[in-house]
Amino acid sequence: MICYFFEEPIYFLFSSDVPDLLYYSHIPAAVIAIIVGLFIFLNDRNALLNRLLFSICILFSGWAFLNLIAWTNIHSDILTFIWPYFGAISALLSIFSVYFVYVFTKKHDVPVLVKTIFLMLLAPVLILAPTWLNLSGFNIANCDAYGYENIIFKTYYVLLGILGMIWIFCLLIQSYITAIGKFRQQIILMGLGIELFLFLFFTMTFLASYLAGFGLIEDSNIEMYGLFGMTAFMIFIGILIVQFKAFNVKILAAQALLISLVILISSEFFFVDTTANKVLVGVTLLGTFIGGYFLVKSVKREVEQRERIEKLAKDLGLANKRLKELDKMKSEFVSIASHQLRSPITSIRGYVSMLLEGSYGAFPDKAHEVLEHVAESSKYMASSIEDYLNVSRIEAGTMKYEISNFDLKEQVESVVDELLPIAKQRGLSLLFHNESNIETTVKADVGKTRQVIMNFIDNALKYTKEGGVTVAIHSDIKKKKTWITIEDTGVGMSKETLEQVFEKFVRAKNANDVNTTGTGLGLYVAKMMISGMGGRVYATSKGEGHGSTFYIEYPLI
Amino acid sequence: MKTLQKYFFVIILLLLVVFSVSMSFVRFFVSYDYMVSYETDCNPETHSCFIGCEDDDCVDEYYYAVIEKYAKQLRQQCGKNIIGCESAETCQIADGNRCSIEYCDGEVEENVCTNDYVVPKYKI
Repeated sequence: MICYFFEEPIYFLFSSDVPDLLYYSHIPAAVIAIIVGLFIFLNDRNALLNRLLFSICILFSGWAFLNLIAWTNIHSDILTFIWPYFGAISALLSIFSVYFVYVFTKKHDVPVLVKTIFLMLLAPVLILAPTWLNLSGFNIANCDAYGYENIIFKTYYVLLGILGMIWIFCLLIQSYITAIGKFRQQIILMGLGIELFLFLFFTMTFLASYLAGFGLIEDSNIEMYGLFGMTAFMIFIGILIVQFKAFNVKILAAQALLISLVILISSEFFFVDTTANKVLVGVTLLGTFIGGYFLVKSVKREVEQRERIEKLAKDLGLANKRLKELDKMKSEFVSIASHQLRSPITSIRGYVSMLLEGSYGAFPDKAHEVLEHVAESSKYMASSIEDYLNVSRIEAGTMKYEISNFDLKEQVESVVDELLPIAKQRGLSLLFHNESNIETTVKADVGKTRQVIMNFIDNALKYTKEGGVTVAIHSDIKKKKTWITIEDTGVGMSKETLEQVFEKFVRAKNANDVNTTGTGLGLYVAKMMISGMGGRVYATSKGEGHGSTFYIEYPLI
Repeated sequence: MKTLQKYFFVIILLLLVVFSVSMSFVRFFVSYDYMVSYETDCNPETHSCFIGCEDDDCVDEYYYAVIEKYAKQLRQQCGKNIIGCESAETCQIADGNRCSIEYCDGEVEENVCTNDYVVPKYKI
């Protein structure tokens, strides 16, 4: 039978007897749901979560499509055939939403018992939907189905919807409490999306018609607003995908934005009436699509580059970690080896010293000269071993400092006095100036501080051919610090050398011109020792051939 | 067996859906097993009729009663379209007890009737 008061729709769905909002609320929401659902499903067909989301999207789109037919069609047999399934689909939507949230939060399939409960809840709806109990007749005048006792079914659908929302809420709360990190944010987003969708869908569609049936509300057209809930849900799904790569989908924000823009502009076709406006919307759509395509392509390229760099950085981090492990192993090896070498070299030095002092009788001058070479080399070797041992201790964090309060000036003066004969022997001047007018008491290890000062002055003497070395002590009461300067007229350093001079195994390029020995560890050890005692060392130079100045700085107490 | 256990939810659900849709198809497309109600002519001089409007401003009125018939009978009597079908306007003997005409009941608040007396529901 045909509803004689109404016009036959064009293309099965389009009728002038329906409100404009109908198409805007139904078609874009259904299309978005299908696109998102299909995209996620195709991305990983075997993932249960993806399949469940796709099922929800299909059910929703099916509901929207049938609802459009119900609004526009005028054939009683078609309308009575589809009418019972609004309730059935809404019941399925409710149960599938619970199933989906269960899998999302628990990361595994629901137990058989829960599946049985799902089936028990759905069975009455599906079995009784096409019976007289649900739908008994059709009003041709209003083009509307009616039922004798459909109030029972409506109540059941609505209760099932409410049950679904409560069930989902409980699942989300339970998971949120036990979840950690980013998963908590995902639960919030998913919870907001699906609850908003179910709330709008059930309240605006079934509850609206339910209340209208009781005469409590007049306008049952508000059911159309219920479909916007799906669009909101899909937006939340989009955020989850873009931000957290949920559903194992890799999509860029730019791609999601482009899809949204294309759908939004396309939906304007349902509003525009004139051909000119349709052409304008079409041109805008085409422009957006082309511009968006190039934008997405460019963003995708940049993201790929960024991902490559991130991977390289990760690999580099791993390599660095491995290098540190190797370095530690090397330090341990050096430490063990140095300890083994120190004892014999000490013996060698002792005996050579005794030989030179004549404890074993007189030697010819030539043998004396050779013995002096042996003494010098063994001294250098002992010093190198000490450097290696210090480096090992520093890197292993086992360097011990005996901290006490002492006057830095006194120690500097003492070291200078000690090294004065060596300076004279080399034909160099070694001067000391006290530039501090206050006490220079510092809190540090006296022995190690002396060792560093001696090392710096000795270095300065080694790398100076003519002229001399000036040592001075300064202090600044306002900044509460004191510092020693060791200024020489030696080979100097280039800018590049200055940047690396305190690093391990680094020697100035011109260092060998003056002093062929040296491990390149002395300055590194000095720097680490002083910083270990709360001070700092640094150096300046006006360039190669213009001398250098080394600084040892301590805080005053 | 394991596969059956794994997919029992989907299998039973699909069986339920197929059963339900088949039942619906048979009932509404094959058996026409439902009632159809529509407006039929009513004489305000003999019956309490509903008052309908021909246009939005309700300048032109018309009078009608609501007839409810079994869809299968109606389809046999008039085919797909009841416009111009005389058998559709009244209850026929062939309709049995599955046909009724409802006249306007003035006691129902929202009803606009030609007479304000209570008219019982006639059944053949």
